[in-house]
Amino acid sequence: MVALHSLRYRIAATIFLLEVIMMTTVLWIVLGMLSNSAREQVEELEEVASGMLAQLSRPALLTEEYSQLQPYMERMRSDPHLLRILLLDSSRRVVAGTDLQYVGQSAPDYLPGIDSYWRVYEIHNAAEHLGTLAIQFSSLRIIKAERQARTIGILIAATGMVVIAFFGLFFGYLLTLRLNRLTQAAMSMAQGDLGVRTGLKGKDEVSGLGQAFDVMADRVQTERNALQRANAHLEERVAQRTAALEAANRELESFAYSVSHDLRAPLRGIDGFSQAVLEDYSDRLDATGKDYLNRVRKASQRMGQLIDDLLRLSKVNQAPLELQEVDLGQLAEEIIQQLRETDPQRSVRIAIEPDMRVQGDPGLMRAVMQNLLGNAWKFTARTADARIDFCREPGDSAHEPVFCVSDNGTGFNMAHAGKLFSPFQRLHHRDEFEGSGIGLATVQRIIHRHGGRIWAQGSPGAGARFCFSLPATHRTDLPGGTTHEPHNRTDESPSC
Amino acid sequence: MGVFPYFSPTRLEEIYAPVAAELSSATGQPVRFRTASTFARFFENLRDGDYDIALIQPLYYVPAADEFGYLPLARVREPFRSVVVTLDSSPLRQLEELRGGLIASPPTHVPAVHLARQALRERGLVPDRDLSFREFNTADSCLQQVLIGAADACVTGPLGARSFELRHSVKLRTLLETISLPSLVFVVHPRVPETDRAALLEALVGLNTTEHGRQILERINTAAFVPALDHDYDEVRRFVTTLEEPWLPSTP
Repeated sequence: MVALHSLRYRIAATIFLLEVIMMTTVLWIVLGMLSNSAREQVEELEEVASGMLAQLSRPALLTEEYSQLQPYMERMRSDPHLLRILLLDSSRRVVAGTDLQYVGQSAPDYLPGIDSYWRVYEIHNAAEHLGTLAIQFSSLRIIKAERQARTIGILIAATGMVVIAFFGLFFGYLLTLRLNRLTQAAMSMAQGDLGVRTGLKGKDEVSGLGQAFDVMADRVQTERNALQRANAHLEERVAQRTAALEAANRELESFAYSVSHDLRAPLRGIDGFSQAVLEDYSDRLDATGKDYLNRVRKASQRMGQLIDDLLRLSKVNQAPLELQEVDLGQLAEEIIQQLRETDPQRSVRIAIEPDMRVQGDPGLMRAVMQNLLGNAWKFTARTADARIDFCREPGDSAHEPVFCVSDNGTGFNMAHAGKLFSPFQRLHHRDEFEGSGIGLATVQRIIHRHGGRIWAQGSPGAGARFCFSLPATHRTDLPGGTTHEPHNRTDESPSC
Repeated sequence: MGVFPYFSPTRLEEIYAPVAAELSSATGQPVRFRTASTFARFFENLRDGDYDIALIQPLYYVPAADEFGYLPLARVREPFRSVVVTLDSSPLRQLEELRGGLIASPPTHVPAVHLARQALRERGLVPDRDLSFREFNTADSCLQQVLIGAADACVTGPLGARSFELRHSVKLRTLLETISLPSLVFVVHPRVPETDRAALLEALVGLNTTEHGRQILERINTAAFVPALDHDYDEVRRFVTTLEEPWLPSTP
């Protein structure tokens, strides 16, 4: 079936169809001409025979002697195409004929038969109408001639059509042979063999197409070689740059770590000696001196905290992720418990949705929750009816669940939301709320390392809401995948 | 109208069918041209009175008028005579040179043959003894024998010889010319009414007064028909008494 759709058979079929139309037309015309020619030849023969009979009949009519004509007419019956001859005198009486029973009778009707027809010749001279010669011819001669012409015509047409059909197939074969070479070359090239060529020569369209393909293949191969060389060079340069960057990173991290680590020793010295002065020489210091020393201690402790935060931030990118199942709800419960123990006089309503399992690094996810819940705890310190919620939201996609920490604390102006996740950026004065300004930057970096996103919403005095998403591909328990008995370990239900 | 078959029926038809048409026109009655396949048949028809009008050779006038009752009507104006001719290119120059030779002739019933045989006999060449005669159907076929070399000479009428020269583009030499006799004559059967006879005569004699009539006369090789009188053929009556051979066809 596929072969029948090939160009070869289409060309052959088209040529054959045109040939059929042409042959039919030519055959129709030729048959008509042959038929007419055959009919004319028969008519000429009949005219000759009729003329001879008329010439023979005329003397008989002139002499009124029919005895010599009669046997001649009877002999004419041997011609199978000459069925009957009747000679009539001027009184319409049969005076001679092929059939003796008609002689002496009146003229018959010249009715044409199925396979015969009459030709009637009136014989005149200057003085009178001498008589009538009536000849009945058989149509078989014309029918036979027409049949013969038709047979010959059909044979010629059929032979011509067969020859043309073979020619069409052969022509189609020649054409598709080269097209097949082109197709094979294109398929080989599609499979990656850029060295293949059609090798078609000539000046026709197919050869032109093959030559164009070869030129295109040359260019593709040349450009691919150049691209491979460029890629190799690029990869080499990327590797070099990557190595350089990695070295620089390592140096920078080493430097930061060293600096932070080395700074801690003098800070501990400052804090320790300040404490020693306060403890050992308190009786010699006035209130102002003690106050200064306490400020020195606080500053050194804050700087120590800053250094710890910086070290934590730098470590976020250093240690490899160790992904495993982490229950964020349980983690949040533990952190809230620590916060309550740290600040037992505060009354904060906490609502944590249970069973929020994700795939993440446990240590880093703890840091995330400590920062977010710690901030919520911190910025609700001045709120009378403080409330903190932690829950899961549907998010934009089931494959990326969203977790949100909401509070009704101080909030922030959304105009400055872009600064929230930058290191050392603070939206409140240090005197109002403590902090290094590195926590949210650390959270963002951890979430990004896990392939997630983080964003914040808030308004001054109305609280803040920090949401982050984590790819579900890290999760092992999709929602509803397992039955988990909920347990209420909080004093409130989450409002989100 | 019966015509003495001195040519083939179709050739006679060409010549005399127009005459029949003229006579039909003159009499107001249909006049049909007829002839016969043989002299004997024609003579038999003549004898039986089958023809109302007949064009006959002069020797036949004698029995036609004297025995069958036909009446003379009109005759060809020119007298009739016979000639013996050969090709102009022939080595024969004198009549005597025909001795031992072969002469082709029309059938012996043609008066030209009788005139020629009589003339040869008078010049010392006795037919069928000093020279041979061979009959052919018509004067044309007789002349054709000379043309193809099958005969040394041919007996024919002067007009027939002249016509042959024109048709075949040949020139003939006359070796013998006979005496003259009155030529072809139209006779009419007594049953034809007097008025019709007069009309027929007038039509025949008046042929040379019209172009069409002159064309008809030219085909007959005469300038005109003139009224025929019975005594015009007394000379013929005398001539036939001199003939040694039968001069009439034998009829049943």
